[in-house]
Amino acid sequence: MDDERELAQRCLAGDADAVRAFVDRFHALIFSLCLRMLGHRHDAEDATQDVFVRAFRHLDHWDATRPLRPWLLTIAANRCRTRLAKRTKTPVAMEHTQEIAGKNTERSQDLAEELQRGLAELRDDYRLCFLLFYEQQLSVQEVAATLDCPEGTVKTWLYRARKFLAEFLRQRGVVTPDGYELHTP
Amino acid sequence: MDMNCTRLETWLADQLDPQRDELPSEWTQHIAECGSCAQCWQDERLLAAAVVAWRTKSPCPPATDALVTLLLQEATARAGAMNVPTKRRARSRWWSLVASAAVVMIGISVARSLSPGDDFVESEQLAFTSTMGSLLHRLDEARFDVLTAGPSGLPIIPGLSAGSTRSTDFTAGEIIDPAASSGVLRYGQPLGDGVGHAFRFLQIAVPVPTTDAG
Repeated sequence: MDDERELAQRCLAGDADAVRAFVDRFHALIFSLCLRMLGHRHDAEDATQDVFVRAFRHLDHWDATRPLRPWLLTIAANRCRTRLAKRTKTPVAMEHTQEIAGKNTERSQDLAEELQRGLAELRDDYRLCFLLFYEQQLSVQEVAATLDCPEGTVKTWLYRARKFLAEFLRQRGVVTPDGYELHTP
Repeated sequence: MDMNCTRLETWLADQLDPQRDELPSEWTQHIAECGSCAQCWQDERLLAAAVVAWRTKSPCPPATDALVTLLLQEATARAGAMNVPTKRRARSRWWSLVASAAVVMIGISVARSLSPGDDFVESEQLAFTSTMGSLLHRLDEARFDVLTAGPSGLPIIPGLSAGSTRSTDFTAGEIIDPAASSGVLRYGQPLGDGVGHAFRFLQIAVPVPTTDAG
């Protein structure tokens, strides 16, 4: 925590090494969240940049007694939600699924690719909740704090997301690693 | 769907850890007997495997050079902006201090100009003899010989030196019927220019042993 506090102070002072260290430490996870949430690489790059700029502008308001990562993820979640809300007015094609899954859309057996396809179909708030818990590995309490909602809501959203994704995988005819094929009813 | 199915579904809903691969023994028998729950369990296993695989497949982030440059500009601009307000704050603090001092000085001078000065107090002292009540109080505090001296003693009673025009517009020892006075002086009534009249009223109303004078 002291390390993060010192890093933040150096960033505020305009220390180039600290800024680079800050970016190196958090860039991948923020970009990953944005890309998986927005499904569009350029959008994700813009959102990531937006997150860092906003974080730097408000770094002096960061509570140094708490870790930086959930704070940054909260900013990222809000930026993603804002962009998704704007997107409902001007829809953007989801291309991230193809980026991760490749061009083969014919019932890929790659579990990760299929899961990403399922996530793209998921409701925005369920997807964000799922990403924060399963990808960023925040606790239920931290997800609740990040999304500013009760823990019970987070559990419900996670359950519904899992149920939807399991159903999606089953309908896609995905098989488990041990070769068990799930048959579409 | 029996009770066990509901319980298993509830249990599965609470299991958030994707690493789970083993079903507790208490559910094994039920899974073997219930096709629906067996399907649910297989769905869970599949999803758990998918999550594990998906986690390891992180998207490749873009280069960060441009972002670092942008943030450095932001940090520099911010540091500059932080300095400017600091100077401005110090300057404005100084000016507010000077302005406050000026306002206080002006306030004091205005208050002095409006408040009765020494001359005013000497000539009027209306603040102390403005009512019949304060007049009685002052008379009560006055020395006995002053009271017996009548109107001539007025100027030396603190608070009753209402000026020559007020203290000399009657004659000492003159008997005046209170009832014949121009108005009834009530305890809280402002005296205004009627100090002499009030004193005459008191001379009549309050018996003063003039024999002890001197």
